[in-house]
Amino acid sequence: MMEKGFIFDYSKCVACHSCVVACYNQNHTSPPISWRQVISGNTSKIPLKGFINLSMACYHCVDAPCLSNCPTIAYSRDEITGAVIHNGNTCIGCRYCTWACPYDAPKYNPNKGVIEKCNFCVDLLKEGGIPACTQACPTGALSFGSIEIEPTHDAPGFPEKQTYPKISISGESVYQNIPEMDLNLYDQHHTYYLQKVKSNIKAKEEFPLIIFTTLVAFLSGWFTASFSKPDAIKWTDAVIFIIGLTLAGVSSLLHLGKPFRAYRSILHVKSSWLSREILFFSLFSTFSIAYMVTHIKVIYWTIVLISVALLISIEMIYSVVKRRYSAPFHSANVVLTYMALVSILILPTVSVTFLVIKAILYFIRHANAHQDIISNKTVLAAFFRIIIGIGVPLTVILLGKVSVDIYILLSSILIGEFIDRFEYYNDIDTFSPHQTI
Amino acid sequence: MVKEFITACPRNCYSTCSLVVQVDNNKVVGIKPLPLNQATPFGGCLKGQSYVERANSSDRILYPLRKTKGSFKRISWNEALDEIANRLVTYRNRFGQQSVLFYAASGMAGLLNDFSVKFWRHIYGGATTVYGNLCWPAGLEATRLTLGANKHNVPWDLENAGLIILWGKNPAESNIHEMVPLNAAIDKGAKLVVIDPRRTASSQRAHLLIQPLPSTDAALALAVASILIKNQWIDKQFIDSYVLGFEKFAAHVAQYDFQWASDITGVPIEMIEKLAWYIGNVKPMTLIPGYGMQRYTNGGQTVRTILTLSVITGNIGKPGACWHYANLQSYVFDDVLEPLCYYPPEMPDGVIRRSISTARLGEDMLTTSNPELKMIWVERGNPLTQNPNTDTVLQAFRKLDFRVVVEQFMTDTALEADVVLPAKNMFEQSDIIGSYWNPYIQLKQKVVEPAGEVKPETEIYWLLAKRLGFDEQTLSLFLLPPGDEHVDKYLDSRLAIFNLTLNDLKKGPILAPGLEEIAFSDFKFPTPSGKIELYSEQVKTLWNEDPLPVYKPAEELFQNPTPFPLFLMSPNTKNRIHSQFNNLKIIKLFSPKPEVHINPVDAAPRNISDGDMVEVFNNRGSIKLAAKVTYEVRRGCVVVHNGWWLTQGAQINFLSEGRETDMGHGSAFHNNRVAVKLVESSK
Repeated sequence: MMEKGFIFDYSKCVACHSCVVACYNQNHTSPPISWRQVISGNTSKIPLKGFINLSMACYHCVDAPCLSNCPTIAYSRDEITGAVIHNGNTCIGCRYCTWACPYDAPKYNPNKGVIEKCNFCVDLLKEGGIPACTQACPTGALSFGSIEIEPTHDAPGFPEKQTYPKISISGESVYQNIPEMDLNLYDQHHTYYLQKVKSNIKAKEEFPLIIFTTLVAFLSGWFTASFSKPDAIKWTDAVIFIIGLTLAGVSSLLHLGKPFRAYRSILHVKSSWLSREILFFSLFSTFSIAYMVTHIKVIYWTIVLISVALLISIEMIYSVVKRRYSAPFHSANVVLTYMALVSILILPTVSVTFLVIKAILYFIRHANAHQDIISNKTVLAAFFRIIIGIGVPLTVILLGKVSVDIYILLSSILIGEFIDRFEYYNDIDTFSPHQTI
Repeated sequence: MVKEFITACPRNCYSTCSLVVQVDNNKVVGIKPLPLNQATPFGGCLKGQSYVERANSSDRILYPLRKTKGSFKRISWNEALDEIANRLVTYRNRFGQQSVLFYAASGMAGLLNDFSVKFWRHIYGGATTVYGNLCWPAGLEATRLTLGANKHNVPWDLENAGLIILWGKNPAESNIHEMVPLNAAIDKGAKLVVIDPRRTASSQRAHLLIQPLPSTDAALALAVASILIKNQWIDKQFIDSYVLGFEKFAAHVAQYDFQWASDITGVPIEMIEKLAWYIGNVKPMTLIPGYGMQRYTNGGQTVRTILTLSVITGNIGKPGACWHYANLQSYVFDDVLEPLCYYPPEMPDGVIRRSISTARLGEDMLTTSNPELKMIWVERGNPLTQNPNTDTVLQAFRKLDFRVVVEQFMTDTALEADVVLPAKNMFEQSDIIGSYWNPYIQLKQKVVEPAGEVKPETEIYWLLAKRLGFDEQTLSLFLLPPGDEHVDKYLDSRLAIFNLTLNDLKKGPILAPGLEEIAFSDFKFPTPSGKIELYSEQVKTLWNEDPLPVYKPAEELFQNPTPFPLFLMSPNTKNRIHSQFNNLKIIKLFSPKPEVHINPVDAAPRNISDGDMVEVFNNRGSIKLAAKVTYEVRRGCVVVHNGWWLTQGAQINFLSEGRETDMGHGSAFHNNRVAVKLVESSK
């Protein structure tokens, strides 16, 4: 398929950043935010390896993950130019597109609370011009014209994910060019100074999501197991449940750059798992409160179904991210947490299986993490996760004392799951060109 | 309504790009390429693009400022000029005109800069000024003494080369437009050899990378010359026809074997042989030396030595073959070309005292007497960042009675001023510029009215002259009256010699009249002998150096033992032209803070990890900055890019010594060694 797009020649890009400044002039971005960036491979110039640069912004993919995953339909496609356009007025600042895009194109502007990104210089294109960056390149490495679009490229900085980016590339073999040089000028411990690529997802920046997902798994499990008889619901349980719901709801709002636009987030249920999650969470909250008020038994089964849909939606949201853990499932998987909780409260003997699975997944993950040094933090986290979060419930179950104090049991599980979920966010990352270059 | 104008970038840079500037409502809003310039066929560089911010920056100085009690206050032009005029009269009466030092550097090129000197000479009646230059004269003089002139093939001829040697030059950062023909040549099969202690961005496609210790290049070149001659990889016919002193040279280099060179340079023998093989066997060769290695005390001899490799292999005066050092062919308006115009006069005229060496600015300012210096006027320069041994320059500045600095931004130098006058930028007054790389003369066009109360220097001098009691009639004999029409008239008068007009230049760059696309293709060499002089008597008579190209260890660098074990390099970065540009937000995105690059082999024993704060110091000074642990620089060397301001974190010239180069009155401020120690770990 032929379309207009970027043309890039790796062998001519020396990371001069002219394109980045041209973009800044054209689009009045505020540094350090830049819609265009130059990423580099082997930045520390390790001997016996070549080095390479890639100037990139948005590739306006034909199959654009930002567009399909955005919960508010803030993304649209410009009919004339094929550009993927982001509308800051409808964006809620959830940053999900920054996870979905494998090219690191959407940029979050904390001052505005919304995403912004390259717009293909549509105004220039419509006047018959070309994007400012492509005009500014001093070496001819970056240009613009008719290209054959391919699913992706087997080249530095490109993902496996097939999004049909509007760029054609050449010159990637320059990465293999290593001049004859005197290797005695360097030491033999090359790997030590490999530039580490930082993860784009950091747990300590994602507390709202950690709280939300842990609480949702917890509340839905507790509801399924303990709220089946409307007349038997204790008022204290109802109050704690509603406080939990409120906390989860507020957390999910806190995560947004524009919380007052949160209502927009269910607009894209047709294609966005994030929209579906928010829709199911809203339904879960509404129905469960209605159930507690009306005591209509049918609603219970509806809520159980919604719970399952909600948990599946959460897991599907994270299907766009990159796993940095080796186990097939993460021990903090919300469906697993739900199953464990339900079974503890209904069929304690079965729950042993789920708790043991969680523990095994946890150990596999940590065994394969290749941590050089086991820090105090790791030991402390493992104590709470395993001893408090799994050991205590397991002991209680095996001793057949589930009914002793349900709140202590639930609290210890919650602490363990919260810690595990925290680790989960350190165990995932976005697919980003910084890792593949 | 956006209007477009043709202009050119007047920075001290090889590329000297032609540009299209977009103006909307007296505001610069865009910079676009102008492909009419064959040397800059695509866009300008990031700095060219950053003019949009630079022209509109809220940090710009827009009004005259007076320092009182340590802080600057806005004053009127009348107040500023009255005070300056009063001071000038007082100093003249009490100490003589030469108590005033006029200092200008390379901040903005143009013919109108001549009026500054005219003011000091004809209006004020004299002044003290500097000789020499911070940049490139050692290499210019070396080339002039050998080939007779500084010129090279047009930039796009590089495409015809079979072998390109970047010897200490990193065009990917300092001359990005050279990468266009360089890449074209490689695409056609040319070989690229890079000789640099660093593995620079320009070496991305290199076939051979040689990493000698700084300042030892002459030893490398002598060994290569020896191998070339021994193997008869030379152009005998070319040598017989055009070269003087080959026999002496051949006998001289026979003593230098590769073991000798390897010991000095740190380059393995087989790499030296490989380099010699390339030079002797791949043709045609364009040899592109940079300007860094001639800023050593042995800089002139180093450049002479390297140049011999082009000469004995006959790689001069042919397509794809040239000595690509400096191309002064577009400097058609200069009466005396560089480097000769840098030299102190043989017979002082008693009006302008040219007695202070640029290289030793601080030291010479302090010791100048009869009369002592009382006042300095600085324009187009930032000596408190750019001149070596800054500590001494700072002392000399502070010892003065009165300091005037004409500037666009609050540089380290402006901060030391008593009066700061707002300087024009390149869009606020027309001028004509040449280039030392591309062969065009170009118009740097006025496209906006000056911002705030900015006045061009020509107007500042005019107003000052009136206060010194001159009538306009007399003044117009020497200076340029205010008003664009006078600028245009003057520029037209300069162009008329070549049957050109400003209107011609407004359509685009014009190839310099008399341009030789292939330099020296007539094989006429304006040396005393009319031949290429490998043996030059002039080297002896002018500079008291060996008439044959030799290697002399650079001062300070090979003292043993030394408490300062690392060679300090201070190359340029793409992010700045010397000390310009890094105050801009968009440039800070790429270079947020000063860094010292250090090889892991040197970092490890000092417990230095990437990102740590370290101290780089020697007996002259000390700077603290972040360490970048990288294989880019060879072991034994550290790199801090030139041009950071003290107020931006670290100023490299606190570590450099003010010395002159062996020839050309250049500044040997690269002769520095340092020690590095950890200050604070980043972990």
